Amino acid sequence: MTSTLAEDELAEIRGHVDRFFDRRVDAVADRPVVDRPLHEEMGDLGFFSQGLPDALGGLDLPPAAAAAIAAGAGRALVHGPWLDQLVVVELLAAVAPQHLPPLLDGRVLFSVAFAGAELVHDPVTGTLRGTVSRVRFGSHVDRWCLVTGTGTHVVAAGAPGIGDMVEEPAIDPSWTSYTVTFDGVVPEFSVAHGPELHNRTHNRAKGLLACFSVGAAQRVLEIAVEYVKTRKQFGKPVGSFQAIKHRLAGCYIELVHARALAARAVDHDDRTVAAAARVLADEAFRHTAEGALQVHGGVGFTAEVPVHHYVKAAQQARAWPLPISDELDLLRSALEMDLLLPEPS
Amino acid sequence: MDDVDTRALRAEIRAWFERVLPAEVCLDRAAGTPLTEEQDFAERRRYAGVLTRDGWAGLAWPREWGGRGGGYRERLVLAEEAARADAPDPLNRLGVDIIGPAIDVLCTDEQKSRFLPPILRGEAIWCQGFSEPGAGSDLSALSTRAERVPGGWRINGQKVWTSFGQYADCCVVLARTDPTVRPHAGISAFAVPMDTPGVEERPIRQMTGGSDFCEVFLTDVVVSDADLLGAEGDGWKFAMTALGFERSINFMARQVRLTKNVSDLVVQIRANATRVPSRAKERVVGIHARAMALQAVVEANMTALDAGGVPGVETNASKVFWSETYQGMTDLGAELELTVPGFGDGRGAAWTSSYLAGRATTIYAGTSEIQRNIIAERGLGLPR
Repeated sequence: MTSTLAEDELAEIRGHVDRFFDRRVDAVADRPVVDRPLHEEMGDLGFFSQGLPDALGGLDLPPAAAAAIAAGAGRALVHGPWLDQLVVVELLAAVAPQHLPPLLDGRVLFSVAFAGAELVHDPVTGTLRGTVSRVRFGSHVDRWCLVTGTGTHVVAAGAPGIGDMVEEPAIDPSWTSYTVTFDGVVPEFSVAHGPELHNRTHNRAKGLLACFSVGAAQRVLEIAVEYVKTRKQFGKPVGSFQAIKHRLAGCYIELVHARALAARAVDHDDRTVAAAARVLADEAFRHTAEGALQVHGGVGFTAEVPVHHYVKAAQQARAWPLPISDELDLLRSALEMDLLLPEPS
Repeated sequence: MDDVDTRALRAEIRAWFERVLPAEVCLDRAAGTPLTEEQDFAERRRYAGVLTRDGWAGLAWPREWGGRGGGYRERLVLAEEAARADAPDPLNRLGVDIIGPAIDVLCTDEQKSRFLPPILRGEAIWCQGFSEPGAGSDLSALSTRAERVPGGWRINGQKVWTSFGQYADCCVVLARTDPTVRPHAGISAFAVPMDTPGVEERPIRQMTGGSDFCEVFLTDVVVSDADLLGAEGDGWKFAMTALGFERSINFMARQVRLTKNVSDLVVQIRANATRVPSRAKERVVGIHARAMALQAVVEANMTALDAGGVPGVETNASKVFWSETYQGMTDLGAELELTVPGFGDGRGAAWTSSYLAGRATTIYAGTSEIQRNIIAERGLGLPR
């Protein structure tokens, strides 16, 4: 960890980020899969470099700043590849900072995919073979960053040797990912590293995704609150009825706790915290989006209000970087092995 | 997570617990048997005594009243170490954590110097006379009356759910002093010594078998003007201030304790791994995740309070989240204790007892339903 931010500094960053996305994203419209001009502006504003040390051209901001960006993107429901870009910046800063510059201005877009033994890097020819699932954004981005336990390979989307690309099922039209077959692809570059960096990157992606989900849940709760204050039935705002109040208060209770754990997950490189953060963020996001739809009544089921985008994103966010059921399995096996709550130290 | 400042404090407190608890406090904890109510009470009194003697009771109290002037973060460290050491609940907890701080905010210097030092020294055990048979969630509907008499007030009425009433030396009684104004404005708070003629307490037998709380009957109880806490008509403010401290300081300690309880449950499940059904393992994973989240929220709340913030609706949210997680944990623990032979900590049916005791957590200090109303109206801004 580099530095810490006072609460008022963090609030300023959050305000800055939220205003940026509010200005740039039309809440009701469908989101494009990848919004390039948006990412260029994010790059120009330093969103991708803010966490780097001064020497690498950054502001040396702590992980809480990346969490604020994730929450702001969540409010606006911009899936990416900003998240991928942030974790790739952090990964390369650790092992290959010379490759950072193209990532920082948002003109070259990177997505990240985590691969295991199914991807083989031939040390003689330097080529990649195998099949990798959950390659985010496919050809909508420029580079794929394939992170494995032994090293990271950066491949140009559409490079020679890329075979079948099968689009994976999605509920959210602005989310897309592919199962990609690599048949002798030469990476643009490869860097060797151990499993620790793979795990750290994985944990960071989960933490940021949890922050995204919590930011989105917060926004859809606000949308629901605004609606129930104005919509009248029986001569009163429906928000004055206890059935509505208790449902939305319940969403708030989940949200407060999911948010604190998501913030902790970004701040601590810990696989159980990251997994638990995703589990709680997933529950809070789905329950809040579904609750918001319900308290809107019929109009919640239409495309005239933005609630449906949140419902779809909440379901979609369960798929990556690890299916949510795998997070539960991870927690369960941690329990069976040696999991304990982090001791106060 | 500790910064440098609290690391030394934590080490000091941990060493103190290791030295003092077994030698001076937990004298009756034999393996295989739960404490009797008398043993439990004696343990809690001894614990309050050593906390005071060695200066820990007033960790977060102002120096002026004999405290150490520490902040919420320090108080959190003490709570974490108390949970880690499995320390009992100190007998003067209500006074030290809730009523004393409220007196410090709202009362005169004369009252502070009269009431606060004995609270901190553990000489005066305080209780709260807030709820009544006809005024529970709707506290402002209370009907206990206080009428002016020369030099003081005469109080008549009945209180209920008065925790530790049978052990207490003094009670904060909320009474209506002006029936002509709106309900919240006509209430005043009084310090009523429990040995005042006309005060009669009757312990209520609970579903747990214990009697932690009482009914308190007040019949022509006369107190002096000097026993009016704050100004006339400040009773609601006193109650809300006290409840604010209850949710911020007092619940922090219970929330921290939950973390320890969940760890114990995890350890016990692992110790019985082959006999515990897999569905139970799936459930404990969710409970564990919630305990982690609660810990993160509590730390953030304490840091915010130290920075000068006031407890907001986050503390209402944490109260609900804590109580529901606690119930989920004890429900699982009780199920395993009742169905997996030998499951538990070897000290009797601890989970089963906790399950029963835990049913109160979503009711006391504001029911979950009232908390949701408060969150909806004050946190989300929904109309009344």
